[in-house]
Amino acid sequence: MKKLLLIIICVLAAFGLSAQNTRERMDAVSRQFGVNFIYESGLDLDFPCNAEWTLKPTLEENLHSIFDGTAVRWTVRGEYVTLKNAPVKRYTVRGHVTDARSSETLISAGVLTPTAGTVTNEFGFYSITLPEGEYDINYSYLGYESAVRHIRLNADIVLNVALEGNAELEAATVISRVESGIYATRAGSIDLPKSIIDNTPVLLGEPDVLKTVQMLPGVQGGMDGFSGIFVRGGGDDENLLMLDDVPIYNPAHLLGIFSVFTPEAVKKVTLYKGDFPARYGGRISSVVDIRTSDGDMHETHGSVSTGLLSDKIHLEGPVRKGTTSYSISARVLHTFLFTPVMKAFKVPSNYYFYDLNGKVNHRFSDRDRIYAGIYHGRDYFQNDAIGDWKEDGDYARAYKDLMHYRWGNSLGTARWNHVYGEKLFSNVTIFVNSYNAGMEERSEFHYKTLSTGTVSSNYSDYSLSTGIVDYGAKVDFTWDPVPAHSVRFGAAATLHDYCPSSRISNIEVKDTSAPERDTSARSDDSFRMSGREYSLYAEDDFVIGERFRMNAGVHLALFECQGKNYFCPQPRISVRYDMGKDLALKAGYSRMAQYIHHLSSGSIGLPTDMWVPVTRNIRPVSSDQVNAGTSWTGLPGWEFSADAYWKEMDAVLDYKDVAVSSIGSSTWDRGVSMGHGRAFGLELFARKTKGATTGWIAYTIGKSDRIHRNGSVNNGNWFPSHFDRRHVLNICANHRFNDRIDLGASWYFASGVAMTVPTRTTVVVNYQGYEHYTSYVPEKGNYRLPPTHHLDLSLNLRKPKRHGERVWNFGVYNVYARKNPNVLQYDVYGSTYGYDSQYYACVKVRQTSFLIFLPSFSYTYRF
Amino acid sequence: MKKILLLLPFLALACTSELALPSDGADEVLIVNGSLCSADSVHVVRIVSSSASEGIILPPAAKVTLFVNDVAKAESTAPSDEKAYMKSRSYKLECRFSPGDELRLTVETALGKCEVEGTVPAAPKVIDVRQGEAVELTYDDYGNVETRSFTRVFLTLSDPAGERNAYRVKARAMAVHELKDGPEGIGLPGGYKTAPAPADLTVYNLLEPAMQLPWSTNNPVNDFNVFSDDTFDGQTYSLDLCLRGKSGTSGKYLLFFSPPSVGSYYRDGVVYYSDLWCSHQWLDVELEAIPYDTWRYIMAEEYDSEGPVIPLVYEPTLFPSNVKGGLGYVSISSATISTIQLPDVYFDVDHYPGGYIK
Repeated sequence: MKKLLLIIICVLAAFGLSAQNTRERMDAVSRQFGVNFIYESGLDLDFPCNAEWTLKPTLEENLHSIFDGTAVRWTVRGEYVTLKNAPVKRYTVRGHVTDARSSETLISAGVLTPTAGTVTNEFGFYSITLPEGEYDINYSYLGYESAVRHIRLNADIVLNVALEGNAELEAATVISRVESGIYATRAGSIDLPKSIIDNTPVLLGEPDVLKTVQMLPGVQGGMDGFSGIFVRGGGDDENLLMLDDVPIYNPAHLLGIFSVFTPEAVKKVTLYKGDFPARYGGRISSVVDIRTSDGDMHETHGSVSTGLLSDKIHLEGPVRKGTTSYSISARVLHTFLFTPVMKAFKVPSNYYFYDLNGKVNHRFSDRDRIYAGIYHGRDYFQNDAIGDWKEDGDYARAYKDLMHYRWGNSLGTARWNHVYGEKLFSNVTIFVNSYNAGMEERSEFHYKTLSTGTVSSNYSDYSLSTGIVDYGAKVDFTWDPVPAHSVRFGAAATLHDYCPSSRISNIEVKDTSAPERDTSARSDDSFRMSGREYSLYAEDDFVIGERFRMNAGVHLALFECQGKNYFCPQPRISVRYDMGKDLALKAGYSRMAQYIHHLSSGSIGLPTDMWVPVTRNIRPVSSDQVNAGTSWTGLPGWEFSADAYWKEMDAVLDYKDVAVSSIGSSTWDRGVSMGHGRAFGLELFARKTKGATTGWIAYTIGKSDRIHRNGSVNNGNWFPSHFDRRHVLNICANHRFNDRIDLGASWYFASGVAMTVPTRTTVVVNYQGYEHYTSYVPEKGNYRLPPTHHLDLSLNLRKPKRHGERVWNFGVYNVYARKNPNVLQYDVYGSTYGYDSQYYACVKVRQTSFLIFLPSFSYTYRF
Repeated sequence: MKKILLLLPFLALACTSELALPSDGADEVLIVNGSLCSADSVHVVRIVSSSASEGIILPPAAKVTLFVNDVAKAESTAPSDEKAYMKSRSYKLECRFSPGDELRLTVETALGKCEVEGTVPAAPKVIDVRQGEAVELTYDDYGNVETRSFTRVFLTLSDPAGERNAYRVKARAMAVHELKDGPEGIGLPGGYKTAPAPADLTVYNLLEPAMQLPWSTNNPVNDFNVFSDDTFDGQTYSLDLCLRGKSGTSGKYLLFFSPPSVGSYYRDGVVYYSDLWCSHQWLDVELEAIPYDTWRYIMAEEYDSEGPVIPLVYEPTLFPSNVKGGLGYVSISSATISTIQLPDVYFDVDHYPGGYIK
């Protein structure tokens, strides 16, 4: 019996010794001391235990030994032991993620722990709040090696991390919250790192931001070769193009062949086609957020490049190492440099453009940083016709006709970053932004009667200009109170000063034979107006559970013009559901409003087209867009996504069928009609980001059309919107053979756009009863052009040099010389006047192609 | 037009090819143009043919019938005029109708039948018409600065609310020249009257009360004297019409026509003047209520005729059409004509060419 009792005691002791988990130990204590444990079912008791544990003599000693060092607190009340979660202390890790070599801040870099994550904002700042404990934090960014930092978190810390660049593009690691891309809460947003822009083959070998954006799904270019972008059925003026938070009005040089964004100055481009963040407003179709480089804080380096058309220089470096840096870029067309020579040889026509980008930033501390930047760009075209004296009988005449066009953007911006506490980041921006386009013509005509020596002269000066100047200020906050929430909010105010059209003419007539008939006349038809725009926004990106993430926000905007106020609340919401196995579903809704329009009377935009605001008669354009999509990353190195969208637009503007001649600077709103637009489509996107061969395939099928039920456009019937293309396919690939040679190829296919072309000749009668011939059009958009497609190749030959690297680029645009339509025109041919003549007229439509097999080369030296 | 120069660099490198035109139906289609107005007793309909392959050609023989409230009121099978160089044939229809009548115009040819239907709009309501003081305007046209005299006419109209009406204003100066015996009793006995001689008159610089232009403007606001539906917006408006007179005339009365010649004879060393003319002149101001599509047609024609010669960057003009089975446009309108009597002007040898008023 004693032996049995001893055995039992040993077993019990052994059981006590072998009680490895908390619950078993609680059971042992409960039996030993006759107490009951009370706790909520959600209390976590499955934490690792010390393997060495034995029953202690007293209840308190046992409770201490089980629960000390855990998040569980105990209280003894009679025969009950109450267990609760101990209050958790949380601390914040904040800092900046930068490039290890240049200290350039990295936007949307991932910051990830096993249980939480965030991304850096537009200034490379992040903030993440975690419970007290030890963590391995993973920092990652596309094109950089990931870095892991081990920390013991028992106080707020500042942790700035520098990442090493990696020549091979790597797939982004999974992060829990991203602004754009495959893992984003939002569908319809895509990141374009600088490396993709530099390596995508484009027209004439000139890397171009907007040309690369055109190759993304859902985005269509204008006529082949031009850089207009039309996103999900929207117009070219419905895109918010922002350069460091400042809108750009005319982003094109050379009628759209080049954009104003110098690639050397660009750090990152993000395109939003739907599910717009609440902080953006003012345009209804897309947001292209372009960020420029801040400048290397440690070393001076740059590049010099010359190509078929342009010369570029980029220079960046420290003013004071680690604290202050600068970045300067300039680009000019060759003709700019040869202008003096052309003037000397009296070449009548000349064209050139130039861009200047400059930026300075100074880091006061981890909490304060300021930036100042400028951009100035101009296009200039002149056509001078000079005729010396030419005699014809008793008369002689001479003339001079000088015509000059100028257009371009200028902007200046200053920003201040400040960190309040550990979780609140602010950015204050003030800016001035102007766009101006103008034409000046000076003419002289002289007629001389040789026999009398008298001279009659006509002088005329004519100028036409259009422009807009913005003065603005904005403040933006980023607040990460807890890992599950990332809140952004802010406000902005902008004063817009519009000059839609200014026409001034002076005419003078002088006659030496009759000076009493000398006359002069002047007219000034200028019109100015102003508008004030105010906005507030707030958005929260938060997680619900492990699989569900949502971004919800609202953008409130108020626009005041001509004594009328337009208030537009714009809710935004997007959700992402992680189905596991690398598959996610997304859906969203956005409402956007636009207060400014770009009126273009032609099939291609011209720099002298007007920017005009809403008025008493013209209300803001608004759009409601819903989209749903899915993304899959199950194949290593690949990303796949599919997005479907439906967009309804209200108060879209089109010129009335009969209005253009009535457009004056102050009466433009009489010549337009407000209608309704709709667009829907499906976008498929596959991108390979790892390996020697990278690239993407983007396919879009979509339709967009409009109607003006008041009958003022197309007799009140539906018609295709500008650049409505049914199918668009882009295939871009880049293969890196080795460190010295890489080859790029892109193939672009797009269905033909709808054009309005005449089908026959007709006869019309004017108000005086006289007949004349003209062309007959059954309806707007009655003809589909042939499809546009071209193959472009680009070869880079790199060679390291003593102080840098030289790169030869050779390219061919439109390798198989496809005659794509760039410009369309129609003429009434064969008219012969005369009472006895055969009088007939036929309409012919001609297409002009000028981008056919264009080779290019460029030389770049990077140091 | 000058904006096209911006495309010069591209055009120099361009390759051009012709596109096949889209087909819009049959190769040959009839084009019917005309104006049916309640103020007129004779209406003209013009017909041509449009061939997609050959262009404009002479139309086949046609039978043109005008139905008023389903009753055939006028018919024509023989063209009253044929313009060979324009390949058009005109047909006259003599018929009267009133506001509210249902009109149907049919044109039957070997190509088929074309039809136009419509209701004559209500007659525009003119409240008052009166003459104002003459005025001088300075303007320049293609670099020439010129001063001309105009007589003002104020026309007050009332626009019915809720109706979609556009308006067109026309004005004609009319004159009847009467010959009287001279003091010697020699000359044509009695008097005779010529047919009314419409003067060469342009309604110029039409002004709206809410939009008074400076007198020195060189760009008329409304060159064609048409007003869209939303101009008057259901209210009463006074239009300020400026009617340009003959150059060289000014003063309280303007001449809108060339004065008739004054005859004379010589006998026994004395010059005798046998003719004494009296010209009765008046102004007919017509306010026409036109359908909205007619207004659009007029504006489309204006844009089309003054647009770029080479429409490189502009879309072709879309004209409204109400001809079923064909192309073209037939306007159906009603009009109110108001007459302003002007002073009689007398011409004799001592008052020529200016004339005088008694």
